[in-house]
Amino acid sequence: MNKEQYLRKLRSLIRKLPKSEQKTVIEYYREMIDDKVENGQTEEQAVAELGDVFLLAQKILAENPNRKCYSANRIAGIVVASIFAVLIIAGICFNSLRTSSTAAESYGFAWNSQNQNSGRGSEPLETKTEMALAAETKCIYIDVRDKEISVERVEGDSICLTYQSSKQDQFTYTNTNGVMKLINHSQGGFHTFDFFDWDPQSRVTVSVPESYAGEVYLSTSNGTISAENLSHATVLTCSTSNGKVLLSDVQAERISANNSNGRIVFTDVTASKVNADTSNAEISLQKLNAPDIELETSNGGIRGSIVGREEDYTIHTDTSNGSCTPGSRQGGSKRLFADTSNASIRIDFVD
Amino acid sequence: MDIQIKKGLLDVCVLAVIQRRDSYGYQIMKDLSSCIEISESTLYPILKRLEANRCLSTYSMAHNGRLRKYYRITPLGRQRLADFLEEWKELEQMHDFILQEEHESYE
Repeated sequence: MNKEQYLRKLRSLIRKLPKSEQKTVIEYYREMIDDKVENGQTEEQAVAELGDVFLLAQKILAENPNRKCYSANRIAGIVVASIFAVLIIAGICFNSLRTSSTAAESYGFAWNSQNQNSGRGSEPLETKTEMALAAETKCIYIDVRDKEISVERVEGDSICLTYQSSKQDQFTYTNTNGVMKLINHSQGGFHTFDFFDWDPQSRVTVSVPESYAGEVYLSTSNGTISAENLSHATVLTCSTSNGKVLLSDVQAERISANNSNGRIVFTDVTASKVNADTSNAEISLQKLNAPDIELETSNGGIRGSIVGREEDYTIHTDTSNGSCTPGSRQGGSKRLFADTSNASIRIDFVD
Repeated sequence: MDIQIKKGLLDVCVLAVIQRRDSYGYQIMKDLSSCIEISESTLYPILKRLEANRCLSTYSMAHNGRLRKYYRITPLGRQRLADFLEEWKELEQMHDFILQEEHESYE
């Protein structure tokens, strides 16, 4: 990606920020790239050093205070806001009952609009929050459809699940024996956003305090799963399709990512066993640190860096149409298995 | 290290770099790299925060046909640096005290 492509993509991903902030961010990164190029790097190198544009956008959005509202002491605020929202929605429902329904409503289309009170026949969304103490939780289990899932670090001692439900898109939440379980299998309906603008309104946010030391199981479809700053989880399983799996700064005993038609990106990921499996997309690693690694895709490259020495690994790399670096070798106590087809494998070992 | 402590320390390191001379994003990163490697996306919120706290002021200057944003330390920023060095002495005293207590408990 060249500079302009990268910055254009970044801008589109942070368009929820105020205009002035968007401008400052873009100018900052533009200047960084220009200065790097002036110091002898190519534009592509300079851009590559900024990392995955989706990860960068996420970091920028996470730093914006307007979007952080999940700490325990803000819940009171959310509750008050929710009561107002419910009153407004009730008003809209009452209104739309009295007037004739729009075509969209009568065909059961699911317009997923953030603007709850636009009153143009859109389906009202209600933001819901479920909480539990991290110390009393063994497993976070999310199984949804057509949603993004994002896991982020939160201060305090409570795990917090935030999601938007509506009449046509309902969730079931239970918490028994330390298992927080959130399930949603939205009805078939015609989801306009699938085709036009994939706007991650439909998102489940999992806010996890640092102390949480249990399992995390995330499953969705047509949506990206991202996790950042997770340090004590035992097992992290991510499963999606037509989305991405983006893990950044994650430590867990066992990490597994299953995807189809979507990239898998690991940045600063540490685990005793890592398993990544996708198709028609690339797997990229930046400083992956694990003694047992299995990477499998097709029609997509596998590239990036692993922390450690090549000679410590027994390596199996294989592709049908492309080159493999490193080649297969025997003799290390650690294990690296990387397999693709119609693309190349390029893995570097770094300190 | 505790993330809050690290955050505070990074702020002061950036102030120290800019105190020497007015500087811009890329140069600040380069100057910091002898002490700590930080990424562009880590530096951005630090600069933003320091500017919001009026520890830094900014101005733009033309360079090679484009504008570069420069940061300059303010009196408040200098005060913050001085305060930090002062507080550090207190921290050192506490550190010594902890060591001493630790030592005596073994005897």
